Amino acid sequence: MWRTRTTRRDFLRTVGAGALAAGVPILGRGPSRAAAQGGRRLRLRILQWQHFVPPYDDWFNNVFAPRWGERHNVEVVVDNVGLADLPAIAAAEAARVAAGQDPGHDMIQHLSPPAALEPQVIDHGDLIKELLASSHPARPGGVGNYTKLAHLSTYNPVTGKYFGFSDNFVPDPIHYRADLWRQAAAQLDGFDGVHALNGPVTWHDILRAGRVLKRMGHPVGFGLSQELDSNMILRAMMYSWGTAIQDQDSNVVLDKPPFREKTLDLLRFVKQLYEEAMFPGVFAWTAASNNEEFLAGRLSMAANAISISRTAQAAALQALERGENPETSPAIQFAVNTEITSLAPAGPEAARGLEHVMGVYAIWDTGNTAVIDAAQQLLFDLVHSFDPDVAEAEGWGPGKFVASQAYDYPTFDNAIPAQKRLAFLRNDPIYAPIAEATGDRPNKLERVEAAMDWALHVGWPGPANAAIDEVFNTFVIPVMFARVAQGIDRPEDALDEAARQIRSIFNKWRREGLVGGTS
Amino acid sequence: MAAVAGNRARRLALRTGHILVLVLFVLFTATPFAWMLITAFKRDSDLYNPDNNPFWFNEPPTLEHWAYVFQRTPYLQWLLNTAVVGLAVILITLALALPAAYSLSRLLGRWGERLGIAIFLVYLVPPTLLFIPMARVVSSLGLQNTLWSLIVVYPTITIPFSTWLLMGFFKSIPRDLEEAAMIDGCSRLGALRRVVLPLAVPGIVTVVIFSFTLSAQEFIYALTFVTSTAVKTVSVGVPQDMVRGDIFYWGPLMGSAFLASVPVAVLYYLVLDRFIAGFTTAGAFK
Amino acid sequence: MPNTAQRTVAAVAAPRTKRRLLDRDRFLGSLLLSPAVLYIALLVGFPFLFAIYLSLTDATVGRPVGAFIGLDNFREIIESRGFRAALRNTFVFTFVSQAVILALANSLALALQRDFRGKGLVLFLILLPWVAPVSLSTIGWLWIFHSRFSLIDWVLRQLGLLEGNLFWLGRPDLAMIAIIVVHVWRMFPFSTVILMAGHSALPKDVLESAQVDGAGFWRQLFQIRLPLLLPIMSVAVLFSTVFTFADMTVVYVLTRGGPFDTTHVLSSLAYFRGIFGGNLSIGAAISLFLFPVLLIAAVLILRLARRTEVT
Repeated sequence: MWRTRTTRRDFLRTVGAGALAAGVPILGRGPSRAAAQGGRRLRLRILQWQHFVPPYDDWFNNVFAPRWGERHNVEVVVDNVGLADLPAIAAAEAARVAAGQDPGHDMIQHLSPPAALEPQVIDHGDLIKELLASSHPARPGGVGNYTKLAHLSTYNPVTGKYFGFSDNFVPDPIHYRADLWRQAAAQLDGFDGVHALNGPVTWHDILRAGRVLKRMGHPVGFGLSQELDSNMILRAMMYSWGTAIQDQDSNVVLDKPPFREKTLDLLRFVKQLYEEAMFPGVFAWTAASNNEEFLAGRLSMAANAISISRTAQAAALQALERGENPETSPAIQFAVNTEITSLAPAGPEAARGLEHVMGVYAIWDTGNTAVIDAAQQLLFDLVHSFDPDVAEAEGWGPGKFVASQAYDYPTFDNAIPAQKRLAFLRNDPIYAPIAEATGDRPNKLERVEAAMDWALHVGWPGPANAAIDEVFNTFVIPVMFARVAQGIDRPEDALDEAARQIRSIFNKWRREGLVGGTS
Repeated sequence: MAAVAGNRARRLALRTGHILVLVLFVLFTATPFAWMLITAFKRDSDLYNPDNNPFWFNEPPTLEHWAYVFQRTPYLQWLLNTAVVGLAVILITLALALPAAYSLSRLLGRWGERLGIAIFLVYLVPPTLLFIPMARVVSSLGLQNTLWSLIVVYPTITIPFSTWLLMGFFKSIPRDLEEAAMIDGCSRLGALRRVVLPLAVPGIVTVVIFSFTLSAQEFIYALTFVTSTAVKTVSVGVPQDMVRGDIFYWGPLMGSAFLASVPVAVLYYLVLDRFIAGFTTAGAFK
Repeated sequence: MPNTAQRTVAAVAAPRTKRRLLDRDRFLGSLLLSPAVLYIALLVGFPFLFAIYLSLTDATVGRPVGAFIGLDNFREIIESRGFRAALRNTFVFTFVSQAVILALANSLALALQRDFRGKGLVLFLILLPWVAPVSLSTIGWLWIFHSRFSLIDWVLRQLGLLEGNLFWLGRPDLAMIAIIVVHVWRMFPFSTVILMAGHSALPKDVLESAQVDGAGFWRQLFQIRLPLLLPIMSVAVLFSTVFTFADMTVVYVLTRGGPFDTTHVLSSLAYFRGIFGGNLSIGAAISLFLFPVLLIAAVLILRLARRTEVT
């Protein structure tokens, strides 16, 4: 039983059997002592993004948060802002915490590991331990492991502190147009049944088919620009080529043998991929481009969270409601032809992919223990809420996984057990009406499940530290690739300049005592 | 006869040229707004087809974007907030910049000139990172997440420029008018109120326009000081609620951009005559 | 100057009264000025000093109080390619935009001197860009320059001048043009209004006598109108310079500094490195780098403006 675990926190003291007797839902807790003592209702203020899936915010803000608050006698205030605005607000709040002021929110959900904010947040290690030891009768077997992906994204080995708590990640699969892909495959020797049916298996496939697809007027689109998607896909390629920015101990290895040759090889490959299979729009890529270009029907392939699929499906559902013929309606056929690959495309060394977004909550270290306890309790319950059965038992509506339409994947690998994830994806309620109308299979997005195995984090194979974060957010890697693809720099020069910038960034954060490594 | 005809042809050519110039300018300024208005009524499938005419409806128009604007976001509240902040900033700016400008232009002599330059320079303080320490100031005043935070901070941007602008207007008002009033028994402040201020009304209009535009457009401070949906301004609320994750909600975005611009343009148009008259009397030619 | 004459007379007539008045002026002057100065000093003083302090330390987003490291941050940014490009862009964007704005605003102001039917509507339509919240109107321009849906490309395609797309924001030259276009678009309406006022306030007798002397349109424009308009133009220039020079929104929304770091300006680079990258001290150094230059420039421009005004 999760609520009978030992805990040092006042807030988590439970009323035990008393709750049962009073008819409170089976796992309900009594009011926290802090709240009871003060007589004043505790306030917990959360800042998070406008979720890509609007119904998720409806669920979190109007179902989960208020019901949770009622149970714990806490007033939960949720502010939603655009994802691009989170860092600025977090910076302002960190300055307030450092000055001993009220930051404005008690915790923030970041969309990439906020390693630089470490000095101003609590250590989230205890919360993780408590979750690992917890269980719920509606979900046998506990919440599972805190995945390596999440651990490396939130733990700083130099200070031994968990500077964040990741409750979810978002997979970043390759989307492709099945109809175009089949046409291209038909024109190519050696593209056997697997290739034709399941989409690209290797980056070499993508290059070969991409040439044909570009001639057909449907290039592939992987950004080479200063934005998130470019950052992600280029790192996925680096990892698959066996190179990375840092090693496990945070030494910069990008330009060191044997990684140097691999990086250079990849730089040359990306230049070739750009010239033969892509188009100049990749230099103007924005976070919205892969959606817009793909949905405009011009792209044959893009990497993104399942938002491309979901957007296509939403358009198809509208067309269905308008009474369009499923066989001829462009919107409906488009949704049918939009597929994702189950594995990340392989490079010379391995098939490695990335997360698209790491959902990382961080609680400000304001010294207000009652609020900090409440925040941890909410996160504790949020992880449990992934499972639809737990959510139902606790009165939390459909739970996090279903509310996000399978967009948010758990970082505790059994928070929603695999078979329950698959049960949802195999009879996907969003796609089901389209599948029924067209005779397509309803488990369109089931392949995303494989991301649990292939998704790596930014900073792999080392920790997601503050230097990695600055390199990520100042787009050193996309700029390096773009300059080579455009023919402005030789691969060697672009690599040397990028490595120089990266070292300078690493050294700064090493002086801060937040990043390990020496070279 | 030939001369008259030539003259007429010339005038016709001039007229055509004149009209052509104006049409080009209007096309440049207004085309984006025309497109915004059409996009606000356009189906997504229509918008996302690069072969479709972006300036017309290739599929039947829809009201769904406006439903999003008005039902899923507190758009009217944001408009109201923007107006409240703008008006309050105008009042504070005038209350502080008018006396300062008068003092600098009339009372403090050459010393005032130098101070005037100094005060203007405050305007050039690079704002990009100032919001971080400014957030602490706002927090110590207990104003965070309220409209007051913006009302208090924006005048730090509007006052310097307004002071400098008003100095020019005050200088252009002949000193003898004021001194005549003082001889007639007015105090200096009385003369200021009865003689100088009425003559400076056009300058005041300029300041009003400037202050309002600035407070309606400011982005970074609004972003970091105010995070609850109910107290946001248009320039922050709209992009935040209508760009979800990596999807731009183009219809709602463009609809609300259009709707937020037009009323202000109408207001400015109405005061434009005064504005021009303002510069004329303040004129640089005295 | 009537003012000086008046003063001399007063001084000769009653030296003692004048002295007392002067004393009172000083007092009243300080009294009237102090609220504005105090307001700004109290609110901006601390943040500004704090920003200077940040630029001289190794502070980060998570630890806004750092150790003093002198001018190391400035040394580091000067050495970086991205910073040098941003510095150049800041000036290029500002000066090119100002030149275009002045040319456009002057022509439009001249064209609007004449009365005609529908002038009100024209004025209204021209004012629109200046009142639209820049964070929203720039998003609109994002679509106008879109790689795929660009309105400009569509028009060019209809005219048969283009096949496919120009990829405005994917090429450094076109991306820079795009940024300048947006700056011009949003600032020139205001400059036009100021210059309209200027043109209509030009002394009629001077213009008429020039006409009598047979001065052609261009001679009138360059030898009489523009020199007379210089002070009021400096208002317009200063105004839009300040809006353009320190602006981050247009670059931030349109290109985010791309393609490959070619269009950053100082304010956007400072934001990316300081806020997104968490490197607060470097961000502060980037945004403060030009403060000394700006100071000198503003002093010169203001001197110029005041001097031309007196003569």
